[in-house]
Order: sequence, then C-alpha cells, then structure tokens
Amino acid sequence: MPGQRRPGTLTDPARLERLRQGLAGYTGLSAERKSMSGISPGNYQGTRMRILRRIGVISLRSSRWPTRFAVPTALAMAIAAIGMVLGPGVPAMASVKPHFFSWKPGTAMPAIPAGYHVVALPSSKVLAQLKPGQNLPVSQISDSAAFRAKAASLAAARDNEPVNLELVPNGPPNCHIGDSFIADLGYSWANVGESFSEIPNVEQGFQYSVTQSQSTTFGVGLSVSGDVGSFSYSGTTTTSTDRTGIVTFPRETGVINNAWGTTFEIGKFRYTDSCLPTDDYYYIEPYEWTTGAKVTHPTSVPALSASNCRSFAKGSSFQANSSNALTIAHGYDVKGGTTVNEGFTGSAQTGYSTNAQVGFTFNQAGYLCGNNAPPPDAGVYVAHA
Amino acid sequence: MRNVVALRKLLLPGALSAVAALLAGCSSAGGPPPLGDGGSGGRACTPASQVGKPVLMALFDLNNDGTGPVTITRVRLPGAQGMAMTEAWLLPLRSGPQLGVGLPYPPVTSPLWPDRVPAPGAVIRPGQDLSLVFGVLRTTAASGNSDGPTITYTAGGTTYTLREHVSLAVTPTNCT
Repeated sequence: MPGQRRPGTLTDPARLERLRQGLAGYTGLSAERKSMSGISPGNYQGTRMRILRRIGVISLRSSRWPTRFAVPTALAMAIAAIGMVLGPGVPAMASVKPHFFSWKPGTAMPAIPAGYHVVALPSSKVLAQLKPGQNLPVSQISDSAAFRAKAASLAAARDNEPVNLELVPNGPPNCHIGDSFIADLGYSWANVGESFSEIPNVEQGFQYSVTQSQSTTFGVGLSVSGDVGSFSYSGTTTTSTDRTGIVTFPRETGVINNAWGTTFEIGKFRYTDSCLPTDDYYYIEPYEWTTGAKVTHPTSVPALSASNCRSFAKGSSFQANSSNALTIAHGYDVKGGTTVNEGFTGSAQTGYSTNAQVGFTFNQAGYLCGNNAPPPDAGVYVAHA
Repeated sequence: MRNVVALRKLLLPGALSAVAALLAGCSSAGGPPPLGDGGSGGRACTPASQVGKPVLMALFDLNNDGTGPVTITRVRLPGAQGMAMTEAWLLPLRSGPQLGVGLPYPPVTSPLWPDRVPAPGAVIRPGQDLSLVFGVLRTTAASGNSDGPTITYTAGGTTYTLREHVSLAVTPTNCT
C-alpha cells in the first residue's frame, strides 16, 4: 500500500499527532532545500541534520551513527546541559520509527528499547533561533552510565524545558541517505509575481533578478511511486540556481491584471535512505532558472479592504522591494507542453526583495491597495480608483 | 581516509552553527523593538512642483507591539539631499482609505487632521497603531531624495531607533 510507505504518513493520525507533539519546537522553521547541485548523499552523512518540510509536517533527516562523530565531545556535553537525560525503566515506544518525542526533565525518563538509540536535539528555545537551512546541532545519547550521570547533573542546573528527542533504530554505521536526480522534465513558465490596476492611467512594472539565493519559493510535488498523476503538493522549496541575471518586464498600462512569468527547468528527484527504505519517495521541483519573460493576465483581482489603501497623487510612484508576495497557487505546470506530463501543478511565491521589484506610476490620482496590509507592507498591490 | 577528511571539513561549520544558535537564543532575552524593524522596503516618489512647498508623505504606520507605552523623541530624514521634511505628526488611522503620498500638505481636508499630535513627545500605547504624517519639500531646483525616515523613541527606559526601509524622493515633475 503505497500510502503507508510515506515518511511521516498522514494516513496514521496517531503517528501524526506524535510527530507534531514531538516537533512542537520546530514549528515556524521553513524548509531549506536542495538542488541537483546542492546536496549529495555524502552531505547528510556523518554531519548534522537539516529540517525539511514534508507532507504538512516537518520531517528530520539524519544519518544514524555518524552523528556522534559530528559533534565535538565538549559541544555535545554543552547541548546535553540543556536537559537531555535518558534512562531505562519506563515503557518503551518501539512501534513507530522514526519517533520524535519531547521529554521534560524531572519526569520519568523514557526507555531506550533494545535495538534503538536516541538522538537529542536542541531545546525549543535554541531551535526558535535557527535560520531556515541552518544545520541542527544534535548529539547522540549513548547508554553509558557515566554519560547519564553527567547529563543529569547538568540538566538539574538548567530550566526544565522539554527536550526534543528522536528515537531511531540502530543501523549499520554507514547509512546512505540522499537525493538523486532522476530526470529533467523540461522547462515550465512560472509566475513569479502579480500586480493589478483597476484604473486606466497607471503603469505597472516588474523586474526579476536571480542570484544564487533568489527568493522564489516553489511548491514541491511528492509521490511514493513516482508514477504520472501520483504527485501531490507537499511543502515548498526555495530553489538554488547556478544561473544569475535580471529580467526587466515590459511595462503594462491601463486597467489590466498582470502575472509576471519566467522559466525554470523542472527536475524529478528521488530521496532514499538505505537504513529506512520505507522512507523513499520521489519529488518534482524547479531546479534551475532558465530566463525568459512573459506577461499573462489573470481574470480576478485579490479581495481588498479599503483600510489597506493609501492615496497617491497624480505623478507619484511607488516601488515595493521587500514584501512577501502572495503565493500563486498556479505557479508552474508539469503537465505536458514544454515539460514531461507528470500531472502536477506547483505554487510559487516571490518576495519583493532585491530579487524582485514591482512598481506603480500614477499618471492619475488613485489609491494603491495591498491585499493584506497597506503599502509598503503588502504582499500584492492593486491600483484602485 | 576520504570520509575522515570530509568529516573534518564538516565538523567546524557544524560546531559553529550550533554555537551560533545557542548564542542567538541568549541574545533574544530583551525581546524585539516595540515598533518593529521598519517593515518592507521600497521607494516612494512624489512631485513637488514648487521649491519649498511641501507635499504630503503619509506612508508609514507606527504600531506598538510592546507591552508598555512608547514615547517618540525624534523623527528625521537621514541622507536627505535636495529635500527636507516638515515637523512630523501622529494621526489616528481610519477605517477607510488612508492618507498617502503627494496630496497637498497640510492635509487640512482630512477629518482626522484636527486630531493630530506632534510626533516628538507623543505616546503610543501598547497595541495602538498610528499614522506618521509629515510633509516633504524640495530644497533645490533639482530632484531630492533621502533614505527612509528614522524614528527615535523610548520604551521601558530603553532608547530605540526605527529605520523605515522605504526611501523617498521629490521631483519637480512627474516621477518615473
């Protein structure tokens, strides 16, 4: 049953709840993604963990045994001082793997079932400070009495903040974990911005520049089988790209809705974990910017609230370059045409940053309205009468 | 051996990120500034046909997200070249469209204008959201520009400076 093979499968409500509870400290961290040129299996192995948002919850990937070698002893002890103490003697929880849970110092300590070990993650306070994509400091807890004693004494000196723990099965020392490139699916036009005018004498302009850390976030399609039509939305990725440049779109004047599009090459990838083969899956995402400029014209305008509008006199102009744009649900297609047909449509969201700028020039007086806030803090703008 | 070398290369960044995360956690004890970090960036331009005659700039809202009152002490335009600002005011926000950019200054036709208070010395209560309103004027025949305004304020005995990230410009004719 393919659905039961998904990592963190949503078909098991009890498991989902355990994941959510155990990962409460991670809420709010967004995904840092890989590209074809970014992560090779060796990048994960023997180092640290990265946070990836998958199928509505956040899953953690880690290599197994090597984590203990990645964190220096002194650092591991410093992390343990946050309150990571483990010990035997309470009911085990061996039926779910990987198994995330929180443990509050001072309460009964969870057991480490036979054949398992525990990876201790930083406290929620520390996790809250992590930037997207930042590596997690982790430490693997051994079952040595000396370590437990030391950790217990350190934990006692700290607050009683719950500790995030991951129960993982003991595996061979060299699990092979990583993402592999399966196929290039062709290029797709992706809408990287939208702007709107409901009055005639307003010019709209859009500029999109791509750096290696450009700011378009795409929806990712995930499938266990990898078959056509089996991909469904499962979180987002911020594409890293080797190509850089600037696209200045032609200005549009008048009562017109604009979706600003450029092209990205789409790839099909496969995630594998030799220690947990049931976690394997396929995913589709844009992996390289391939330039181009095309303006299309959406039929509808975002809903507006009058209190999110500001007046602009004739002759004035406004350029937004640092907002979070509205997520465009129909961001890119992988449904044939210039791509292989995988039956998937992904979303796109571009922040108006130094990478993307939207501008309005008012050749008549009017209002500039934001979809979710007044200028300059909105995600999408509409020139309004 | 190759794996050992790779691990050594990866060891330091991992340790540094861990330490950085721990330090970041410590530095957040004071909490964020009550008036935020200046929000989104951009550029606002307005024509000002006559040198020395101000036009309206009402693009910035000041929202006190803190738990105590905020007292404004100073508003200024850093990096101004060929332009200047009038005194700054705080106005209540209204339920309909807000004041904006390029209208005549002072905006005497606004029903909220009589409720203005000078920004320096004004107190913003916790949860209160007020509009920062001032005029901008050209001081030379050419166009003028500046960085976004800075607002200096005190809260809980601490002095903060908020820098808005929208730069400003005034031009003799229409903006482009």
